[in-house]
Amino acid sequence: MKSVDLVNQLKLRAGYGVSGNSAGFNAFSALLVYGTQSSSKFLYNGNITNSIGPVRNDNPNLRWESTGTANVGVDFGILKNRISGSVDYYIKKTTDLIYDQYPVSTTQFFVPTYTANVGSVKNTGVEVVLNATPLKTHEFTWKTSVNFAHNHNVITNLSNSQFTLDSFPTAQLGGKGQSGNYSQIVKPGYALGTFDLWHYTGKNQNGVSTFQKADGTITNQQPLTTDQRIAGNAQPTLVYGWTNNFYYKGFDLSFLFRGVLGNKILNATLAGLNDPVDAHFQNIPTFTLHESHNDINAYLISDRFLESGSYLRLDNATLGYTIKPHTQSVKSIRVYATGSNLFVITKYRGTDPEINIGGLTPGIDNQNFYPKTRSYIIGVSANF
Amino acid sequence: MKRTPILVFLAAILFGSIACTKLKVPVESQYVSSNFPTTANDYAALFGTMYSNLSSNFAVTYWRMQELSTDEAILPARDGNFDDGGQYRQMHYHTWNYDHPYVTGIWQWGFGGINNCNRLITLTVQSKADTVTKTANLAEIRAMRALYYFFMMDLYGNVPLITNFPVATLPSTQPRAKVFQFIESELLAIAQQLPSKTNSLATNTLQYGRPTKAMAFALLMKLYLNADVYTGGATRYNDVVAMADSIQKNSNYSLDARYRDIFLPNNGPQINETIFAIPYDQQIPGNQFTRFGFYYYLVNAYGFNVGESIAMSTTPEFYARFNIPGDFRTKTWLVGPQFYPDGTGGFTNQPVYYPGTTTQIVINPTLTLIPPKPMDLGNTIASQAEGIRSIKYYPDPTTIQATRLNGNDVPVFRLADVYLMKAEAILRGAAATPVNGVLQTPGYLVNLLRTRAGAQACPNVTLDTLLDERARELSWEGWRRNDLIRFGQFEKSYPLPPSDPLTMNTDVTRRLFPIPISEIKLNSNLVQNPGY
Repeated sequence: MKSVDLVNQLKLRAGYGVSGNSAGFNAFSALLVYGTQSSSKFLYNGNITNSIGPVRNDNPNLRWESTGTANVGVDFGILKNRISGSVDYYIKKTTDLIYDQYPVSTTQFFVPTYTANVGSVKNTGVEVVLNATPLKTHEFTWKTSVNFAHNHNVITNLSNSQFTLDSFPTAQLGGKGQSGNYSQIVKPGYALGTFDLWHYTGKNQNGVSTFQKADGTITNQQPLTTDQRIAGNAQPTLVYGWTNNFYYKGFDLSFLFRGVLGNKILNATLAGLNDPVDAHFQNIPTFTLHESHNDINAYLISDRFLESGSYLRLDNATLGYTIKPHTQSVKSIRVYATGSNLFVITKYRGTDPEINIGGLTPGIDNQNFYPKTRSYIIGVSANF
Repeated sequence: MKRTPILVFLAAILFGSIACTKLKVPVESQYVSSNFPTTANDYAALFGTMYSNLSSNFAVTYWRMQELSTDEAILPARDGNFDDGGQYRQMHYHTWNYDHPYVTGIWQWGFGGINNCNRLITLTVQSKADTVTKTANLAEIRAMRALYYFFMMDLYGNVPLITNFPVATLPSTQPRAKVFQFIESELLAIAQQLPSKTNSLATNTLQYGRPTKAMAFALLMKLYLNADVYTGGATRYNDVVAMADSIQKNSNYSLDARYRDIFLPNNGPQINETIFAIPYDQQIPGNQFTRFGFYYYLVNAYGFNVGESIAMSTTPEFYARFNIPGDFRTKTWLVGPQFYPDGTGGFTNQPVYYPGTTTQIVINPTLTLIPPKPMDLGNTIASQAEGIRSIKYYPDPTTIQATRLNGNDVPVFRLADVYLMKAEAILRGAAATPVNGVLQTPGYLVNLLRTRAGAQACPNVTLDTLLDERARELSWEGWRRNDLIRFGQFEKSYPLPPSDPLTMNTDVTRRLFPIPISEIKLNSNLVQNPGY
């Protein structure tokens, strides 16, 4: 390899490992646990007494979940490391997934959820990091770095020898008349964070929101849970970042862009506030000004409120100037100005598209998100 | 440095030996199956789950399914408040579906209760208690299981029959007639092993809120009176009479002198006519009749100061039955100009004014719709004062804002109902029988209750007057839906003035509630009821 001047570094990596996980589950997860429930008082011989009953179904077969990860990567540096980077490809399979809210029939169990090893999930993805120094002269340097990540998540199985559900619902969001509804579904063949929603079909002649039922007909009434349909996914197809650093004489300038592409956000916050009939006693979003006063269905959570979550954010920009005084006591003084969260480009109608996209119920904005602040800092730092 | 490999080797052995040994530490910090139940107190606390579960949903959610679906109770919205996605309006117009929160919640309540009873049976059989204790315990559990099954059979009709725990395979739906048979055979098998009401308050206190012989007989009466509805086959009116007479053999049951005492906040084992009641208390949550059914601006006049919800009332059509001269039961409703209560169930001449005014509070019986919100009366002071309020479960002055509970125990079975059921069975063809030498005709039985209430006697009892007498005597006790279905009047609608845009779904399939869809998804052996 020494004879190749163009290439400074080229490294191929490959790895495989299996790890177990029981994090988040305590020593009693597999046992029949007795305790008091929220409403557990009764009258016994004239005395108010605590009843003690099962609060957890036992599962003697509970075992660790395990994750097998295979990874292939290339690290490289070319043109005297002016361009370097890495490319990684991974396949991660988790089996015997532990879920402590697996729904079970109350005709079979006395607690409606069960802690069980059910199913498996597969993540495959590519991560690319590129670093470059496009310009480097005595007085001017430009360094830039981009990273991309793409992950494909799919539930491969949800059953074990005991349980054979073809799917289960998650993301119970509440809302008027929707307390028993769920907005996402965990289903083999689909990713975590798959939305399962009523399908909005516009307004009727009276301005009332209409929805499509499972049989294809249109209704202006609140649909049933069986009318929900799969409507998109909260997982982005691409997560990216771009950093730049410029140095010119004593000046330095850096900025970082980052963003995601291709994900959906359920704007349940907007749905919940979108109630024109209640406008005379509660604040409404400007969105609601365009709604008919007759629309008694306006607040229902549906795919009408499923929005693109793509965004580009200027996360940080800093301009600095460094003086090197001719004294021994102070080596350098840097004056700088930094702005954080300077702008976001997005079509998302909520306060901020950068909501939680991890966990079991990603991509939901349900009056539980405080927007990021924008901040400016002007500072001086000195080295002694 | 030479020692290092040896140390590593020793460490590996040590680590390996720990990792390979099965960890067995007895659980001490939590109740689990290895350390609970062991003592008699453990078993008492364990059996308590049958009762704490029962009280948790009986007087609110279960009650609403049985009452808001009839003319006896209505919960109209007040400018969007108490619309709650239409859950109350769907009850009124019979437009509920398999997603309705009560349909789902009460199914889980009932079958959770049934599976709990089955588990208690298994634990009791395995326990080291003596035979006498075991027999008594098993009878108690089976009676409670029969009660839960009755609730499920009455509401949902065709439900699975689960009699053991653990349940190996997902149970299938059974026809209502088969569930009826099971409940009947269970009650007949254990009735004689249950305790009887005594003349000792101490014994009655121990038995209070728990199954007795008379509770089993009264539950059998409900089965037999509705046998035609439940099984679609033979009527069992003679059995209704036989069970009524079995209850009356115990002279410790008698009508209390004052109707209102049965439902006061301090009611309990001292009430002579209670056969089975669900105890409630400020510490035992689940009775919220005052919270949902009282009129907020009257609280100070009744001796407490808690912000109640302005919501639930009865319909004017139902109230119209309270028209008998002298009838104390009429005073369990608040309507018209309001006066301070006199402390004994009546009223003084002192008007109750709206706070800071000299305007007397007047409760208007008519529920007038204000469009466009559905089944909504608007939320002005005037519209808040619409709807006849019930003070049958008399406001509990010890209520606090944080919980808004009533301490009044809620009767499930009481002697007055036994009389009325016997009277009805006779009107429907059973032979009248004597008790203690007195021939109990329908007229005799109904007038026992009329006399106690201070009401004019009923000269001629027919099935129609009997249904109205049940309405007066048993209002808001959770039986109206059951009664209306038996009389074929469940589909009579009660539109609200001036012109109700919503209409009742009068399909008779509404006589059964649907199986919750969430349960069908989890148990594919369940079959949905017709019409849903």
